[in-house]
Amino acid sequence: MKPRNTTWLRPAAGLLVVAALTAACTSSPGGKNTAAPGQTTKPSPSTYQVGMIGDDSGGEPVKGGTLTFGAYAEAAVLDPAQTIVAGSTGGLEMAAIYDVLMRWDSTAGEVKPQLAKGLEAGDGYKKWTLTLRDGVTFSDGTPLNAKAVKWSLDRYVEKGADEARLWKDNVASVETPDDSTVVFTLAKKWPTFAYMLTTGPGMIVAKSSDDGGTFTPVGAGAFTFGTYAPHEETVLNARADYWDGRPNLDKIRVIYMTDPNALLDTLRSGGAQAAFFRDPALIDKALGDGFHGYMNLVALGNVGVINASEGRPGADPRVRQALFHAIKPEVIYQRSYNGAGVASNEVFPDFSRWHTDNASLAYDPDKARELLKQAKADGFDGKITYLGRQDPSARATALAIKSMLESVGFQVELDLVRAVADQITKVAVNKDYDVAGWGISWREAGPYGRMFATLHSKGNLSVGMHTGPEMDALIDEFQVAETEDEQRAIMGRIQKQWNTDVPALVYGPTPEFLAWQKNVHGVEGSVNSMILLDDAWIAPAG
Amino acid sequence: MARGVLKRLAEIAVVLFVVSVGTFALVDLTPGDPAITVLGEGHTPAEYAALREEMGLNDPFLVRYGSWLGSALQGDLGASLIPPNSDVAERIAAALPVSAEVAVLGLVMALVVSVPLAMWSAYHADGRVDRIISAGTFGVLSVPSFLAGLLIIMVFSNQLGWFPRAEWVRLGEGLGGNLYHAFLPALTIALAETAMFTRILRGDLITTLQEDFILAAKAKGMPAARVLFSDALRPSSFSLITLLGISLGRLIGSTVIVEYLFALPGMGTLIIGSADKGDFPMVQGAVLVIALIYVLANALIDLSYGYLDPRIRRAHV
Repeated sequence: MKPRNTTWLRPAAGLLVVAALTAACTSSPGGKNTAAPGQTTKPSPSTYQVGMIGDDSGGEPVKGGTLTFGAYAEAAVLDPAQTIVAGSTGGLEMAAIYDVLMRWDSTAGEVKPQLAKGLEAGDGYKKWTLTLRDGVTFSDGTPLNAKAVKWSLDRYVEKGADEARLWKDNVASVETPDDSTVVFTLAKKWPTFAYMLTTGPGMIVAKSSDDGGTFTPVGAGAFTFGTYAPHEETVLNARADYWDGRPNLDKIRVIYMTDPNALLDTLRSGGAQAAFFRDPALIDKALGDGFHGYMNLVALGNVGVINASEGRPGADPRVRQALFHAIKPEVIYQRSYNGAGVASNEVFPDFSRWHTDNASLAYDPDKARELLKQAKADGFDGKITYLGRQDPSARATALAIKSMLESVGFQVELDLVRAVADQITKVAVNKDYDVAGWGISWREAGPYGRMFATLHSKGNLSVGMHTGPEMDALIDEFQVAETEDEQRAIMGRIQKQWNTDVPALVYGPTPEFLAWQKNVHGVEGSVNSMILLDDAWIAPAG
Repeated sequence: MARGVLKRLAEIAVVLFVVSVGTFALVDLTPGDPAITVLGEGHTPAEYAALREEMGLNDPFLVRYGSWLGSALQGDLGASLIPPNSDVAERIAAALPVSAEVAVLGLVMALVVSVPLAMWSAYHADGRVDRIISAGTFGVLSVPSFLAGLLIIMVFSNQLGWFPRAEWVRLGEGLGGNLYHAFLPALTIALAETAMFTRILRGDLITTLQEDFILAAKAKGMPAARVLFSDALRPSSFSLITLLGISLGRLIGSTVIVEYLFALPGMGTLIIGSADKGDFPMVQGAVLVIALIYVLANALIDLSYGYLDPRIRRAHV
């Protein structure tokens, strides 16, 4: 009997399976094909606006239920004095546990009292009087009075929190004339001081949090800390004695997933009622799916900082300007996010209330070549190192920048690091870079704090970028401006100064979208992409 | 017998020592600074220097290793360098059951499918079904686990909506919910293992089925099922059992892709997350525990040979 030759069958089957799987998986890592009719559609650019998305009218609030929220990143420490207070870094949990003295009303565009009863300015905005509500207690039963507020603020400064330096430089004294009054005397006029009480300093930590040498989150918010399982979840429980009455929800469950695609799938399947996204491509999908939510756009969230330290190519303003003229942000967003998101080289693009008619430097390769030629004539060798991360979108950004810069005559070497910690070490600690992918992150609601920290010569986050007396003066002027119109006018002059100084290459703002199911109601947006859930509720299905 | 056990224990101790030194050295050489992870971007050089001193990061390699080893020998794997500075043993105790459960479930699923398939395939070697099974297992082995996982997610979660894509429900919260959430990750693991087990067992069974005692059993008119289960399976299981032990140890520590795809809080997630932050006590402790499981599993496999083949048992007496 003639033996049958079947050796071709096995490799053929293998190849067939791989080909079929590859074809099947190219639709989308998240699963659903975004091009499928009737499903996900590309959102219009007008969707990228700061504020609430979707109609919140849901009838009478319903008591009970657990809201499962997919966090952007795991927040292991819920101490406002030890972590950055923002929606992407545990802001939801902290706002729920501690509440905030003041809150940013994204709809009205102003700061309003939340845990506090009121905040009044005096002495030409140099003195601020905070009035507390009567009978407010922490979840451990101790009263939230003026002394408790002062203790928490002293602790915040002592622990060197995110905005501690700004606070220390500007707040001359904190006095407590009686149990319900706290008086802040400032070193200088500061009309927008109220914003400070919407973030870390406004989250009042109970003394018992530090008992026993280990931090335990205890606050006066609508929820109390329940359990924390690393890489899994944090559970917060409703508090019956919250000053504004027991919240509608019984529990908040914050879950952690390393893959944001899995998070979107979980939101789609109903495994989570809300989730936080920063990837423009995923935000497009979530918007296309029709989820409601709260959108924030962080100006200068996606930039390439230029090291202007002595001996670096960026010390020459012509090189910095040449770099800026050579970059077209749309190319970066096309390569990195398939065209999703907002590509813009303006400090505040037109979505923002800080946007002015003062335009940024234009994409102009010829001008870039000319400036580079001048710098080379004075001895610059044209070599630049670009530092970035190794994740796919950061790598695509780095490659796009390399190609654009090399097309005008730069020689670009890429230095791609694996971990965020490596990037921080090279950029913020050692300042060992020429141009680096980074986030300056000026917040829409109250940009002053980050403006000072990143671009003022006394700021602690300038990471080697060019700073100078002209920009310092403008930032100082912004701080004392009394009206939004005045502040906007100064912001226009800051854009002009940016065009001269070119401290960083601007690719666009970072969108932050907190999406939730349509049956979730009563969520309030606040600063730094945080949401407040004390009035939130979930309507029954159907 | 006692001498053999002592010898095996000594071998395990040496393996664990080498693994611990190697891991400590590798983590030490990896870029990343836990002090930076803790401090973030805005801090003064003095704060940075003080924290490094406080965390013991300025001590020489041998001092740090010696200190860690001393504690580990007393059962204390230390605390994480990253706030909230959790106890390493507690974190491992939380992550290990997740990886172990998914790995064991995956292996059980693989065995349940692969043993009958291999038997059928071997008994009808070179038949149409055997060729289809062989081609199928070859095809499955060609598929990397991330691709298999994505396909499983697309079909069972996104399209059919039968199972959740992510989320983990612990056993303590209910067996039904736990198995429901563990099914897709276990299936992803089971796919490749099934193919491998089937091919290995089929090959060994074909050899066994040509032995004289099998031919004698067949000649006596014993039913095929009895020949296969009673006479052929046990002597053909050596390679399968060995592979099973290796797979169990390997899967507990290396299901990173599966854990990533299904957002499982297991050992892979723990190790990768800790390595990214330069949290070497956590990496060190986790790798040591995995190494311990690996060597113990293989020691048990070695012992099981004696029960599979009396000749080996007698040789050790």
